[in-house]
Amino acid sequence: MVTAQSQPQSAETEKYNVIGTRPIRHDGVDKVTGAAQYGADLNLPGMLAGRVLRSPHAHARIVSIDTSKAEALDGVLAVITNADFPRASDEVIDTGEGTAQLNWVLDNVIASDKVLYKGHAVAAVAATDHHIAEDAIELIDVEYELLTPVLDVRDAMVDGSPLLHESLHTGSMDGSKSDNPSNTASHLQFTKGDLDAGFAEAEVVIEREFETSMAHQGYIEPHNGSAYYRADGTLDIWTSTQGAFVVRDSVAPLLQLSPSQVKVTPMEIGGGFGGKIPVYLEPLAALLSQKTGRPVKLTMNREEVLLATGPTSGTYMRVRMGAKRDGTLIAADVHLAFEAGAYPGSPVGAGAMCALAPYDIPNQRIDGYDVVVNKPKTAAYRAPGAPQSEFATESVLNELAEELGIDPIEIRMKNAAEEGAQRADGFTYGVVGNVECMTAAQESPHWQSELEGPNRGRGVAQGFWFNIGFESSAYAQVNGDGTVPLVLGSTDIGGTRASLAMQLAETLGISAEEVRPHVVDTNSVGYTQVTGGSRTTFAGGWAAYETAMDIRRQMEERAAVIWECDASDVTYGDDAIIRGPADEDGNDQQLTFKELAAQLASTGGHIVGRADVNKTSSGPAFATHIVDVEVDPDTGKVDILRYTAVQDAGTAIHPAYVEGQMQGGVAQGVGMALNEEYYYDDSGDLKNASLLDYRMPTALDLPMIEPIIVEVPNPGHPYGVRGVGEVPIIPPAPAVRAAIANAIGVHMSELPMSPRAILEATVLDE
Amino acid sequence: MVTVLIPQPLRTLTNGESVLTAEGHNIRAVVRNLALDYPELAERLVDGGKIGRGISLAINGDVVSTGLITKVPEGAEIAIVPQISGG
Repeated sequence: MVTAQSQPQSAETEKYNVIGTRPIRHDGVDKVTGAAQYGADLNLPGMLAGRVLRSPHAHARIVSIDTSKAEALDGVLAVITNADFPRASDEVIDTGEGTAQLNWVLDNVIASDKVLYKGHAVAAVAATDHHIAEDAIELIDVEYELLTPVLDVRDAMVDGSPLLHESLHTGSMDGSKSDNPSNTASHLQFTKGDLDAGFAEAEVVIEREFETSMAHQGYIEPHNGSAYYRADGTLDIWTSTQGAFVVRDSVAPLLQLSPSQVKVTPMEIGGGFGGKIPVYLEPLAALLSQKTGRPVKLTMNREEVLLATGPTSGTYMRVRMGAKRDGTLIAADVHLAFEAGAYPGSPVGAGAMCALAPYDIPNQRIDGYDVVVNKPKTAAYRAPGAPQSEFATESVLNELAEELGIDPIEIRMKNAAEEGAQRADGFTYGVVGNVECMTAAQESPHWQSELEGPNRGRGVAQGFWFNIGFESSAYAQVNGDGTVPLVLGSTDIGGTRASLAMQLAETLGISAEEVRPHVVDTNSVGYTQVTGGSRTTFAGGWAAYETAMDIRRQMEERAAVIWECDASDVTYGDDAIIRGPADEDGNDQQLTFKELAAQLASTGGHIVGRADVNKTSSGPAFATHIVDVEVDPDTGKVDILRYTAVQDAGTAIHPAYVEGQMQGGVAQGVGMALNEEYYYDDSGDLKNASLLDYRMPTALDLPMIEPIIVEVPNPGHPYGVRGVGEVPIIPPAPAVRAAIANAIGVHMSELPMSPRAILEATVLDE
Repeated sequence: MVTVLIPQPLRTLTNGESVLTAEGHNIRAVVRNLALDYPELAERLVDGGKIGRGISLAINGDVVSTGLITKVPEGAEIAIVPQISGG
């Protein structure tokens, strides 16, 4: 067994034995030796290879599909289209942390009457090998009636724009619907104070417009899904997913099965970032297996991932912000129009709630529009909606600071939301670390340093993300040797086996290495929500803590059996010593955890601790980032010279993994800032559907990102945990924009701020 | 008594009121009492025995995850917000 690394704990965590240390992850050896099993590794006897036929058009009506030639090909066992699925209703199902209309889930998995984006699945084949399946999809004849694609969010909102869904009407939060069909699926609005009076009081007002491109989560492992529909009517699914229970609860109604008929095994996952919450291949594999009676495996290639799985929204945004001369923010008006892709459901709601969240501004209006366009249905992507909306608001705030001649961190501190502040959506903050992050940034070596040289600039930005709680489950048994297997339902993406095992170990008073975490299938653990929303270490940690407390109670009862006393006279100490009343001779009675574990069988059998929790409290997270850049005026290329990320983690359970989340978030945020974009031609053809042309940052593009962990414990968690995975993707884009402006005096209005965009802006500026 | 904050789009259901007060020890009871004066709002907040489609309720800043039986402390503030997802 690998052992813990010895590194000092923080001042906040030195009171703990395990929390705040940096043990090597339990799954590390399997990952580095290649023993870990991913979805594509799965091979079952008689397994068939599946392949999907995808639309070459962005918007077209399907006139007919002829599968006869494919079905006649030797080695082909089944061909399916949307018509082979049971008719899906408009019932709303739980799709992770949100909901979706079942018929739209099905139509996104496989098109019904229309294809709505290039790459939209039209048919699927199961064959005895992959090559035959490839040949078979070429033999499927699809007749299309081409329709005009709608590719820009503002074009889509115009009356008279071609409609994606004739049945879609604009919904409002009050439940009303527009009279006429529209591509605008919904409108929401939050208000606070008196906007007109606020702007009347403002002494400086800045208004800017922004456009951002769709960007993909960029997980390295492509989607996969395998299924085996057994003769007894039960369905096994193996897949790369952030939420096995969500897959179960999505696939079961699509095939008109009961959830109890479906078992989903989450395989190891090579990244998700929100993009592996929806189902894509699993329902197809399930139906192909149902038709053939054999297991079927489907995998995507990279082009399919980029064409047909959910990126985050492209947007059009407009922000007007007013301040007094002393830097007091007095009014803000935010307009957000988010592309949802082909079906409703962009993250504009969260974007609207986050837009001004770091600040206490008395007069606000935030409008959000969810708009369908002929692009892939968007999916969650790390703090969904917030990188876009906070890019817009943070950018305008930086310009206000510049206009007023106020230090950009000072203006943030002056207006920072603290405990008791209320957002426009009605949320009131509890204990948060917003100001603490700003202070740590201000005191950082980076902010204190001088930046010299031509075309170099420094920028700063703030970020906010809610973090969520919801349902998690854990079971643990105590072995006779004192080790504790921990059974979890949360897919481990960023080290949550370790972070949950550490919280169980801390509560039991044993080492992290003595806990053996396992991620299991949906029949082997209680309901557990997705690994997403920065919830797993928080809510899963609650479950691990409660499980450990359950074990402690049972261990006290067993010790009482041994000592023939009442369990209330036994105490399980945080040092894992179980102490009882003095014996007849007046001697202290005590047992170590291991000593008592060895006697469990003789005191009534081994014990199992369990907990199912459904937590409402969450622990909002804030971050402050600082970046130095150098802009090449001849090419427009931006180099990141130095980057510091400050973030309130509440309590950093495993600081190395918190730092990893912070650095990973920055890398993705810098990608969105500088290079990553979906590049469509006028016909809706994605022209950069490969990682050669869809340019994600590599290690060569980034310096060492310096993390500074702030710990303001969350009072809503036994160990003070706040989620850490999402907020670090938010500040990079506005911080980089500010740094570019500081370097060359140009305020960019679009993402990505690619060399092309910067050259266009600088040429236009001249 | 608890306070219910009404976002702008739902004020069509409350005669323009932005803040309402109601009695109730849990969400179900609060909504039932709101229904006495604002039946359309109540219909929007609860649909088929569940919290209404596409919205979430937050009690003192914590999103309700246990449905209508969720306890509401005396003096609490309830916000009505869109459903939030995460990555």
